[in-house]
Amino acid sequence: MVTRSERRDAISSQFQSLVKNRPTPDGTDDGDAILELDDFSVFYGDFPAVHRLRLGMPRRQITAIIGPSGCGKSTLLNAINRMTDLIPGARVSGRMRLNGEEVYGNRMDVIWLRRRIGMVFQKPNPFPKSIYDNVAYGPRLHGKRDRDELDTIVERTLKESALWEEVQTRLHANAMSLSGGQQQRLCIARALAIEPQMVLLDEPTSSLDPQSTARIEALLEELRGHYTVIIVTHNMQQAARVSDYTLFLYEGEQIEFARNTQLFLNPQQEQTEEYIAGRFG
Amino acid sequence: MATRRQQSARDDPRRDLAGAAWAHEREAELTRLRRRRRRDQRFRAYAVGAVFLASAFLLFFLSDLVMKGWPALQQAEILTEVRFEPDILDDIGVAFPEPVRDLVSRAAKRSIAQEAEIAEIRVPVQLDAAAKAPRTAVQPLSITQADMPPWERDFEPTTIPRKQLLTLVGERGLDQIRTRLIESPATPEGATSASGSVAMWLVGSPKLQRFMRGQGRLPESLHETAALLERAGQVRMGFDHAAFGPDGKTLRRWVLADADVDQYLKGYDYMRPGNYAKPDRAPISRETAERIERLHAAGRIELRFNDEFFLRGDSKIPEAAGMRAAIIGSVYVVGLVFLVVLPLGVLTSIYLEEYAPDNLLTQTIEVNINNLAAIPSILFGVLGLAAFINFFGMPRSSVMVGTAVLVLMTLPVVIIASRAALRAVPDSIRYAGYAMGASRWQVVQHHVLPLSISGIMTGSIIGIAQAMGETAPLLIVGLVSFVPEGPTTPLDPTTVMPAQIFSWWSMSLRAFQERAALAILVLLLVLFTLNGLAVLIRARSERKW
Repeated sequence: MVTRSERRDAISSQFQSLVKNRPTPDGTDDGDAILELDDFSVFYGDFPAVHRLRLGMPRRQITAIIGPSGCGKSTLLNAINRMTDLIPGARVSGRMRLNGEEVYGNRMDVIWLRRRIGMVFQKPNPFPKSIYDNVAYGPRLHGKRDRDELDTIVERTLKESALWEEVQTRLHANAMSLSGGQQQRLCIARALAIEPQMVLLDEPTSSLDPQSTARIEALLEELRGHYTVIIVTHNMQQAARVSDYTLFLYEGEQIEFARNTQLFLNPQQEQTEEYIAGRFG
Repeated sequence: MATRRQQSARDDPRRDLAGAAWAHEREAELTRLRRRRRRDQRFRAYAVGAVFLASAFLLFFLSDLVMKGWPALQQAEILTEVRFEPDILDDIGVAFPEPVRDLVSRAAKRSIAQEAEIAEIRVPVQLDAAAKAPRTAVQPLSITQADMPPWERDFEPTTIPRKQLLTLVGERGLDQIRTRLIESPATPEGATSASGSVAMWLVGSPKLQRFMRGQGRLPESLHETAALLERAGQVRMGFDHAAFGPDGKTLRRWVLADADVDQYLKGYDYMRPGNYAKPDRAPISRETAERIERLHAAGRIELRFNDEFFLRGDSKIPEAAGMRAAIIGSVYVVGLVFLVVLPLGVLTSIYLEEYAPDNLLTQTIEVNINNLAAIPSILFGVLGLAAFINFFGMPRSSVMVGTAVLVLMTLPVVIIASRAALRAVPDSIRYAGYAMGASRWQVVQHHVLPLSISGIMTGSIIGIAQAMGETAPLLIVGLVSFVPEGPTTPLDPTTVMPAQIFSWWSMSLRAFQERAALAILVLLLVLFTLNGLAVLIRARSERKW
């Protein structure tokens, strides 16, 4: 019979090497929260996909959301930039504040909100246009027309996404001619081109090979400190590697939300412990 | 736990055979496989047979049409001297030499007569030094009771202003004045008035020509003036001396032969009643037949390419009947339908697909659209009659009402095709657009429409091809009436190709039948082209996602 503390130590050692203890960008102990959730719920009809969350996502750090399938991770992510508005029958209750402004308030303009939040989907979905036009789409939507300005933006974001070297000679090739990993990096570049405050990634590497995954994880490391990143992943090791904070959801409920050093090495809830030990999920 | 079946399958001795038992089992298996292969081949043969049968029917249909319609591409014409002299206006027959007189088509005689005569208008012209240019030489014309025919009493004297007179006098008329001004201006002709003006018969303008021939309509006030001038005897049809000289001319020309000659040369039995113009007796006598043979041998009668078919509109005279009016009408009507249906249909389907909430109203609309696409087309014709003609007062047989009826018919088809094309665009692209902060219309405009446009165009072209071949509803709203000229405005009466085919086919004369067959071939060509275009568009658009 393995004792609890033995189990604890086993988990600990597994994650010890992965979890990072990085200083917060502004030097304080806990970054201030860019996104505050206060009793926040999302319903599909009567079914609560996400139930009464209470937390604050830290500014310019990386937060991972983990949990078994169907626990509401993607729903929560979609609710942040109000993509749930597009789903008929979806409604929310409670409060969500972005930089103090009510996301679901009457005065919030959805378009304005979405231009401040970039989103990357699970399956890469570049537009069937050229690579250049994909990245330039967001700025053009903003109203930027100047060719030189767009060129600069495209180059900068493709470099940020570690894609520039591979495509700089064929910026006008169709985006669908890229490989899966390249397409996903293109989608990240596209999201970064509008200089968002927050980047949401929904299982960005789950359909990619390990090499592409590694590149994207390296990319996320570089984004830290400049952008707030929220990443949904079902890969706990990835969460431990990449993020600073982690939120564990189970069946829509918030089980635990803490810094990685705590959640992975010293989880407070038993369910958390069971999950990261791999006993279910 | 394994089921009984699994258990027995595991223990089945046949699974683990050796030697002769193995060979025997193998044979049985192979027989079963052979039987199955034969069955597959039989099915394949049925399918191929069905395709063959369908192709055979198609081939039979097409070859029958081609055999009937091909002769219509040729038309008999006679090379003859034509006398353009003043006496032919009384009896056009004398314009042609005796041997060919009864062989020439009535239509040709009519057009020669029209060519020989010209409308003239009697106008006071100032010929003294005060008049410099022909235009200023024309004086107003006053009409009194004395000019009017005896049955028109109580006539108010009126003066026709110069401006109106000038629109009725053509360029040639002004040239005539010019010539007179250059010559001695003092020679009087006809009545003279005190100020030195002379009444001249001048060649009329094209407007006047049309008026006198009853073709086309003049603007109201001009029409009244022209009618008055005609009643007052100030306008007449006369021999066109200006073109043919004071004594006339004789020209050598190919003129259209009568349908009987044409059918004879094409080899139809001339002794058999019904083949030619007169259904109850032999249409041409032996003597005539021999005459035709002689002229043909001498090269004076030939079958030449029937360009009249595409240049002329419908006619009661079979050899002069063409489908120009029908082609113009079809293009006009279907063109208008396309212009209306495409934006309307695409915008409707965009609304239904992207914007409309999924409630009872939307579902009702969708069910109705699907039903409309299945309604028998003739009912749209009845609707057109009741609603457009009787209620809205659209002119019967007009382009407008034909377009309206066809728009109603084609709209559901285009909407359904467009919706399918819009649905085929994957949602992931839409979500990517929304996540970037695009509004709903921007997502449609930037992403959905460009990807679905080829499907939309394909569906629209197929719908338009259908509209082009529609006959029943158009018959009911009157597009089958005899319309010799193509339409110029949407209010003009028109006919369309299928309606023309219908009305020609109903006539008993073989000449009309053969034209109907050729018209069918032309229509089929147009439809094949349209559908081919649709296929091409579909094939060329690679799926980019």
